[in-house]
Amino acid sequence: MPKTQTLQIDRFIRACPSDVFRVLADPDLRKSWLYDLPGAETLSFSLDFREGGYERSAFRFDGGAVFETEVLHHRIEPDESVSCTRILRIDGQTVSTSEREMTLRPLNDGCLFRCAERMTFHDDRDDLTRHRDMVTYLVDRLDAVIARSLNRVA
Amino acid sequence: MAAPAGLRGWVLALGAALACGAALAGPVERCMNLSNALEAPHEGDWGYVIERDHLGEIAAAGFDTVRLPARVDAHFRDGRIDPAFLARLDQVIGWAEAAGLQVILDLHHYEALMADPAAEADRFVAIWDALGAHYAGHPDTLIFELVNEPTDALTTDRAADLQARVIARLRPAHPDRWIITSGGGWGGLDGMLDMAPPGHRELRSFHYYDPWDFTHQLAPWTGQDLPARGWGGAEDRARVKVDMFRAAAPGWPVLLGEFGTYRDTDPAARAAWTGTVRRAAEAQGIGWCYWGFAADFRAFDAGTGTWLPGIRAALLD
Repeated sequence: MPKTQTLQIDRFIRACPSDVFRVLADPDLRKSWLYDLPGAETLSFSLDFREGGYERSAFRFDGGAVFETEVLHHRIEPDESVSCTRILRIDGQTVSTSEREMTLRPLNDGCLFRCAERMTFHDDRDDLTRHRDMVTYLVDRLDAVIARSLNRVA
Repeated sequence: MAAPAGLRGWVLALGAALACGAALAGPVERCMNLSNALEAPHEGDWGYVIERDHLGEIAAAGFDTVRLPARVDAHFRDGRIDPAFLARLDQVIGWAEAAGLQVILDLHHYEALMADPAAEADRFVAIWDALGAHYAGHPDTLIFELVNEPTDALTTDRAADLQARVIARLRPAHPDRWIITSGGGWGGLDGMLDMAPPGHRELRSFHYYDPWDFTHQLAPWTGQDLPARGWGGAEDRARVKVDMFRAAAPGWPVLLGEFGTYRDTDPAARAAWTGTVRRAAEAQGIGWCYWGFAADFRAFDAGTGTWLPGIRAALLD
């Protein structure tokens, strides 16, 4: 049976919600933290960041299996939240799906970024620990891209 | 920024471990439910009797399949199906096949199984043993649907176990016949998504009547006295798109086995909902069966012998 589990990752980001939202919504910025992973070849990427719009990408490591993500955005509230359904496929086979909500809430001199997911793992070679590692790593990258975009770091 | 230790290795191992290959496409694209006929206590009790010409109408309109709900358990005694009922099934299946249609034979309204699966399990298996023996050698254009809308005590896990038991018994005589299975919760989307991946020539089905208070408004038999309401805003349409996206997400062959609206719903809203669901399903590669042909959720007026233009266009144009 597929396993359904929930995941929540909170991160304080020293930027206002609108600056974080811009990095979620802008195709070039989004691709830079979400897909252009070290050692990976991005084969395709498209983003229609509207309610009902899709994000699709394909990439692979070292000429190996093709990873594909497909995301359907169903609710977007600028500077506040993004809700979507996401599918990860490897060589055409669905490995996991998730209902994801990302929210932004002003906090002190920045904002609290929260990624909450209801994950369904269709293959036991994927699991919550690995997914949490991946999301944590991606949020690190998101934070770094925001810092660069605000010229906080070189 | 370096990837966390082990992450890249996991990605590579995962990719290497998984086999290549896309999910199989299902056998059904556009299907019509012959609803409220053979699943009624007696054919005709619920306002519809199947006629040979109706199968011709359905085929000529552009459908490729009919789903035949049948309350077989009510006609199963002493280890055999009532020969008259079986002959009627054969007759309708024969009419459909002569019209060039595939047929889904659907075991419908087995209420005792929902109430007490443990007590009814052996009888359920025996019914399929009998159907399997009767249709052994029949062309694979006949599709078996093991149980309609598992619910109540027939949870997803129990339904999955029971359906797997039947499939194992059917396969020797039906090695390549498509067999439809469903999950709990009235055969809905979440029940289907909680199931393990399907086996060979196993088609997963879910039913879709969301929002319920729209699709069943004014229907007297719900016991809920649902008032008239509209449908069709951006949020309504987005919800359908998301649900079909979720249905297709596992990459299995999937059938939207029932969707429809009660006949007294505003015709324009009926057509809008029907067209939206159908297009969203097709966009995800999901075949569908409209519920239903000529009864409460009708697409066809059997009295005048004509299609309801709005529903016909929503399904086929």
